[in-house]
Amino acid sequence: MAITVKVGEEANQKIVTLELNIRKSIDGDLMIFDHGDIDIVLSPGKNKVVAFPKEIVDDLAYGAQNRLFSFLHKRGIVVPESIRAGAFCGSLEAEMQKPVSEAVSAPKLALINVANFITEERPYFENTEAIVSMTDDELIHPDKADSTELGDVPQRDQQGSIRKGYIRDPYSLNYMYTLY
Amino acid sequence: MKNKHNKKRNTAFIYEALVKEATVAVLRNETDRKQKIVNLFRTHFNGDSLLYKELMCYRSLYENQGLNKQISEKIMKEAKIAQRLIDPDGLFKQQTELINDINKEVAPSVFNNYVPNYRTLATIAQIFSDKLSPKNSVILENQIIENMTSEAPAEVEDLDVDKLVVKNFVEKFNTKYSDELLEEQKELLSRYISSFSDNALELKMFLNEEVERLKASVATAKNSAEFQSDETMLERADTVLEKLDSFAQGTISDRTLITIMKTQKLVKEIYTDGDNS
Repeated sequence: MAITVKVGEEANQKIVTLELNIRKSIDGDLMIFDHGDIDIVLSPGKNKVVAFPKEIVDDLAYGAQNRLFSFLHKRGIVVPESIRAGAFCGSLEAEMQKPVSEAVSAPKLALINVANFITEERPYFENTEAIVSMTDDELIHPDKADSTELGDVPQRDQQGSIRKGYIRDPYSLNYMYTLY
Repeated sequence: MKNKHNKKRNTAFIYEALVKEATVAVLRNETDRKQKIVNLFRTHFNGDSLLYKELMCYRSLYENQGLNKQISEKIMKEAKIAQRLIDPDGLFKQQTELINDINKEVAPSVFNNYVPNYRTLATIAQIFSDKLSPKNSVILENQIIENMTSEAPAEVEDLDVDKLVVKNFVEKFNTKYSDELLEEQKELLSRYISSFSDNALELKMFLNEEVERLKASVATAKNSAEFQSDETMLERADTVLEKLDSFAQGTISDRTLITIMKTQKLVKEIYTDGDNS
């Protein structure tokens, strides 16, 4: 059996494979769309990580942004004191740490950690999406217990909950409130 | 002239409404629904059915256009005779079966489908019925004949926009706006145009940086001796800064973009000398 022996620095390099819904913008920024509540931009040119709310600026999006930067800060990817609100559309941004050695790429490390953050959060936001879709489905396609077939409502002498009569009549006691 | 018209007993209307329903089913890729409608056509509008015969009478009156008056009158006469030769009881029975099948197999909402020539179909149904007075009958027949003799509306010609036209347009646009728009305004516009493809993220990122730059520029200008000596200018600078600060929680809209473009121009003016150097 032939044995392949790798010698040198490259032999110890670890290959990391990431699966993300990601796009590169014209100026080289990496735009990550995987998260359910926020879009994340990794900008190697500006040495920044920016997170924007996906749809609307609300507490849900802020929660996700907050968790992202806590995650990155705990792993030493961003400068803690640089975490701040951006100037547009409810964004939150932070500067990436400068690597001590040239062999270490800050954007690559940030990308791996952002991918780990998304993997960690995936059950949470996929569950939320499933609940929203289930609620929609319940409204659009109700089951037999919650629906009546069109045209098959049985005819009765009295229908509905508000019926005519002394007790049920909503205006019958109006005289009680009349001002003299 | 007011006459009652039951659209469910109007064979041509039911046919047109079913055609609409089938089109919707095809567009929505609802194969089962489409197949059910096709089966209804096969069952109820086959060549031997009374419904098909009546449909042909309707069609000979509402589908012809651009004919001369003499021929139209002859068609009207023949169509009326052909319709009167159809057994009314048999036709009623077949219509009932069709209505029943539509209600059960497709949906009662089929009868609510919009049929553009509904009025013409209703007029023809009135002509075929024996409830009209001779005077009203002649008036309605005249309406249909006028419809038949009128020319079909000319189709709007599709103008083929060739490359030369597009090139000219782009050249004219560039000539007009290349001097009027600033570089940063052009960049904003180009990112706005392509923003549909990525949830506007690239545009948001650009604006995040641009608003920050504008805020810094206005704040620096505010501290200059020129601004400090003029109270009105200080007030206006504060208003601009407040406006820019408000974008931190805002979303992308036309108004936001216009405000940012105006601020870009303002900043350019502040930092450009009177001699444009």
